[in-house]
Amino acid sequence: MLIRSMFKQNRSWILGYSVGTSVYLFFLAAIFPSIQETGLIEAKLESLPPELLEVFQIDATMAMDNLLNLLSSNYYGLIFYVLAVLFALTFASKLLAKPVDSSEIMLYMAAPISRVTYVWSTFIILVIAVGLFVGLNGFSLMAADVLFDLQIDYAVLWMLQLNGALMLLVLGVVAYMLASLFDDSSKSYMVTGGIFTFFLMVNIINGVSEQFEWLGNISFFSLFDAPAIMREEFGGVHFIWLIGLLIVFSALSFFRFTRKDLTI
Amino acid sequence: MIRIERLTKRFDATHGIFDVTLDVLPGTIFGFIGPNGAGKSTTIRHLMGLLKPSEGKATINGFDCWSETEQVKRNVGYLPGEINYPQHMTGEEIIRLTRHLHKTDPARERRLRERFAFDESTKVRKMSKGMKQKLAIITCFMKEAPVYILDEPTSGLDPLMQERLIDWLIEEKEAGKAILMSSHHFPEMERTCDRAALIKDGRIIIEEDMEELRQHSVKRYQIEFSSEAEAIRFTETTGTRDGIHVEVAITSPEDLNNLIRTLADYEIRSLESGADELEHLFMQYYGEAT
Repeated sequence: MLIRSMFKQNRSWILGYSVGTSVYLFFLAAIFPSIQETGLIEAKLESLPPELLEVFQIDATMAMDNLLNLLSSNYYGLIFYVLAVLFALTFASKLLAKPVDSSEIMLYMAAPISRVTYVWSTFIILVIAVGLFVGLNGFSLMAADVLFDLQIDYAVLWMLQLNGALMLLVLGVVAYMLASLFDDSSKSYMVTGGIFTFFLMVNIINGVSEQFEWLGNISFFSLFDAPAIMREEFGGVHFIWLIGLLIVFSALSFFRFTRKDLTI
Repeated sequence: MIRIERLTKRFDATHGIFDVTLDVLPGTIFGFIGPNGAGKSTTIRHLMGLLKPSEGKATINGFDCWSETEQVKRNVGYLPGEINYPQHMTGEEIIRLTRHLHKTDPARERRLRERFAFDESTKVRKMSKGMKQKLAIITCFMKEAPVYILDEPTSGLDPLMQERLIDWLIEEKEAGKAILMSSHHFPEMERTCDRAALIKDGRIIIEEDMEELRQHSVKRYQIEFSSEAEAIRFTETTGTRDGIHVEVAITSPEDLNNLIRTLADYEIRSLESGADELEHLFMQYYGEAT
């Protein structure tokens, strides 16, 4: 019941992200055949400076003869990172920071529910939200494939979705843990947003020059690399890192929230 | 029952609560009085498992309020001081959710809805303070619990609803419930509470049965004399005069008897006692009595 009630309270933003991005992907897939015919993408990519392509993680050597190749440079590049950051901030804000700040959480805290149960329930909501996000994204592309015969490699498509799901889960749990450090939702929003923006910048700078390649090792975002998945160079190490981070930050969230003084 | 033993929570050297000890027994209402920031809500938050004590402990029906909070909350109905339900939900949705989150009694719910009737289809964001308070009262008491913790329960209610709540509280007390109630509304405390504690700067400064508190309190009497000359003659020995009216402060039954004997020698039109005896006592303890 707790999970059902939480989902009901949060379904609008969850569906907003899932349906919004899926519709975008579907329409991009729908117009892909006509884009491909004109050859405009290749021409445009060739005209851009290589540094800019690096920043946006666009592999200019990749032939744009396949929808997933296009998406790996488009949606699954900077767009997905920004969406993932916003998604994580919304999750932490709606499920923890704002309810604590406004005292709305008292509705649940007055019930015979332990804080561990509350955190578990919020994480289940995160899993449902992420599942809907990447699931609907994947199914919308599969639907477009059926309708427009796009020759999508489903193994690669679902590998992208799985990597994206793990990235969303990690960012969500990190934002949740950071939100549990504060009573003031605007402060938690600012700090978490600042940290994510820093990592995003690190990831962008990492692409500018080989000199800064080492920066990629300190950014969460380098663990989601769509072009590498397309080239089948993406190893299991990234997945292990993401799962490891997920476990560590989940444990920290439990530890922090179950010991936190709530002045509500 | 509620038991708080030497409960201390230090926010810093001067802020927090210090050595708070009190018991609330079944079949009694315990009044918790104090100005804003005195430590009432901090104490109540410990009982609800929201704050971890620095020292001491709080238990409800034998369960530790911090480490066994789930069992504690099974035994407690809670009415918060600040009602903050999710803004987009309707009253009906909040009641339905409460029904699922707590073990509630349909018969109690029906009775409460009749007594504290309001439009349940209204969204929380559109509700007045009084409506939110009625909703909070229903959701608190629709759970059949042996213990109730009420933070400013009559806040925002109109006089009729205040009266209904007081009647409800007296019924609950008679049914054997242990009730801890914080309030600034002295008449309701006088009518409902069996025992009360005054908290100031995080420390309990007095805890007594209401009867004893009443006996210790300063009682004020207003005497209206037949003429100013009579009033002047009377105030040569005691009281403060305003025209033909004189106010006298009495601290013991002996003083009251002496006053009545003295008044027998005067022509008086009326004699009235002040209503808010407890309020005067409260002010005395806070050094603000005039």
